[in-house]
Amino acid sequence: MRLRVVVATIGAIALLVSGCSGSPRDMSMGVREAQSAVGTARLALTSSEDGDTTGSFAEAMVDEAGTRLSSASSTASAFKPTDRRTAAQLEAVTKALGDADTAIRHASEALAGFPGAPSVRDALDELETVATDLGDLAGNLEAPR
Amino acid sequence: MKKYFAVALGILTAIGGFVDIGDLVTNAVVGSRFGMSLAWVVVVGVVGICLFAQMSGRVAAISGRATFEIIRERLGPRAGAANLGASVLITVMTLTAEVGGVALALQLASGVQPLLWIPLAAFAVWLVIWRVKFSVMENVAGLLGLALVVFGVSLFLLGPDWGDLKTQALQQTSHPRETPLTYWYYAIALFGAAMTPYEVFFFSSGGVEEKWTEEDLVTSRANVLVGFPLGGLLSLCIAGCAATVLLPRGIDVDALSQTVFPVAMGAGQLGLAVVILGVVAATFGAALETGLSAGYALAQFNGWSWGKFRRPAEAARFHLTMIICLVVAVLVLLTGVDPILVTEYSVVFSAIALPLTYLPILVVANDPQYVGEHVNGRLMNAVSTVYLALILVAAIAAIPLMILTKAGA
Amino acid sequence: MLLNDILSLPVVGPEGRLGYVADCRFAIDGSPGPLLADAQLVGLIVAGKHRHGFLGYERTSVRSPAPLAWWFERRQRGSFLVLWEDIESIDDVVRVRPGYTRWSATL
Repeated sequence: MRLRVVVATIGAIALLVSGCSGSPRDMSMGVREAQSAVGTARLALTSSEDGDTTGSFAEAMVDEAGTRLSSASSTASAFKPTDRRTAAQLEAVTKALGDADTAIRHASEALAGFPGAPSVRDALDELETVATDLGDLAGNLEAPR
Repeated sequence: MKKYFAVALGILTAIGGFVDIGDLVTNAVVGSRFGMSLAWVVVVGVVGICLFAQMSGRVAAISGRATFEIIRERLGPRAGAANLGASVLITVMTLTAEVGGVALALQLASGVQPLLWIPLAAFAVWLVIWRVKFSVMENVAGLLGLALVVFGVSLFLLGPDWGDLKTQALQQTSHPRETPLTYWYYAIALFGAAMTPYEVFFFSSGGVEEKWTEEDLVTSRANVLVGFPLGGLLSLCIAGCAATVLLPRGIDVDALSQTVFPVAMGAGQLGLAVVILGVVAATFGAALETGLSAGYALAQFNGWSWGKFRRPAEAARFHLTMIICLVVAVLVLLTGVDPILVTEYSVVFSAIALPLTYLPILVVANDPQYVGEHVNGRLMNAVSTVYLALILVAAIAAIPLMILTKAGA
Repeated sequence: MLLNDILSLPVVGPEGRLGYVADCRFAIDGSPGPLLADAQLVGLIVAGKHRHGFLGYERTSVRSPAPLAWWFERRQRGSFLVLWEDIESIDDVVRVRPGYTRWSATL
């Protein structure tokens, strides 16, 4: 019985420690999620252009990438900067995630083909730029773990 | 001739029936993050599920009693009830994931939001459970699920660097973006996905449904020993597709569309259509199996009359249980929770709950009062004891790893 | 009375606490019925520390798989059978009559 209590206490403490405090790792995790989302959107656009997927499938993929990106933003913003260096990092991350969000929205519009929507080609270029930015950013941040 | 046909059919349905939403998602996630370096877990899991299904099938065929009747007899009512509670909870969680999987797959096919598909999918599951004959249900779902073989075809069409995949599988290449803790967390998840407890409740209760006798043991053994490893191979192809297409692009799988995307890339729109059909069939078939498993477990434990060979009126509580489970699954999904997330948790909790059913079956497979002369042989006991240890370690390690890795984030 | 209420109750003897009810032992030797004869309660299995049964490993004929058999044998150590005649009363605890006999719990 005593052993169980000890294990449960250790478990609860570990949960508290790991769950509550934001750390610079949150930024890297957020960037990683965003890279994954942007990569997904790029795949969806290229495959839709090549005729490998149906329109609704590609749209579903881009939608999911959008959902993933909002989760990336909340992951990254869990970190509360404590010094000037990390504050600047967080600002860069927030900006990059915002750009990624715009790029994915444009991708979605390009697929839907609204009048006035960007062309698939333009959306792809935008995603590529964002992907490069995110890659540079990931290199400058601490390793995700 | 008829006998060979029965064996072949059984093997084919076992392949199609092996892969469910848990295998689809977990293998794709693991492939996209760790390449093939967790392939060994699939092999370990497949051997385990073969052992487990073989033992429970033998017990069912010879004693005529299914898993939860035995658990109650051997563990007594109190420990048995705790066991039942945990097992049914996990089974309903898996059912939720499967119904969600059907809805997601239908979304990919139609573009219509999954929230609209969920009630429809659950209703269809109920209708099949209520109306369709057991053997028809099992064979149709299993055979259509075979469409997932397109993952294997696509892997060839994608033309990956086979040497590279082999190196990943055999030499445990390092993963700069991952830690050893996430590696082991996903090892347990993959183990849980391959060795889901419901497969075994379903398999042994199915044996009672189809009135297996000692002679059917050969057929059941062939189904398991050939069908499940081929199903495992299919799982490896799913991981291989993700490792080829998604891993190099830094894409972590968190949606069903990413899971099936490599097929579109390898085999085009036709492949995409086939794989979506396969996913619908596999998840729908697994939803039937998990729904029935929850009903079987509760009815067997409480001594209610059960089975699809009885008319619903003759097994009213059995059918009512399944309706309630389906309603619970739909309500959970309608909260908007991501079915993929439910799936990821359900495979880990499956690994946690596994010892609860594995241990009693192992004990009874050694009990001459239940299985007469067909008790486990020496080799079987040696291997199944090693697996008992493995299953216990996985179950104990799962929760701490889940907390430390924030569920593999 | 339901058997379920008896299982895992503490057992007290004249010299103090004996352990817990781990199991109930029946013999099928009552009046013959259509399938089997009625079961008669022979007595209760009392175990020192554990409240659960031994999953059938109380039978000397079942010895495999070896590690499980060894584990349950260890758990069984110190457990014994008290005949139903030797039980004085059952309420929150099971009381055993003075001068009871500890029978072997193995089969």
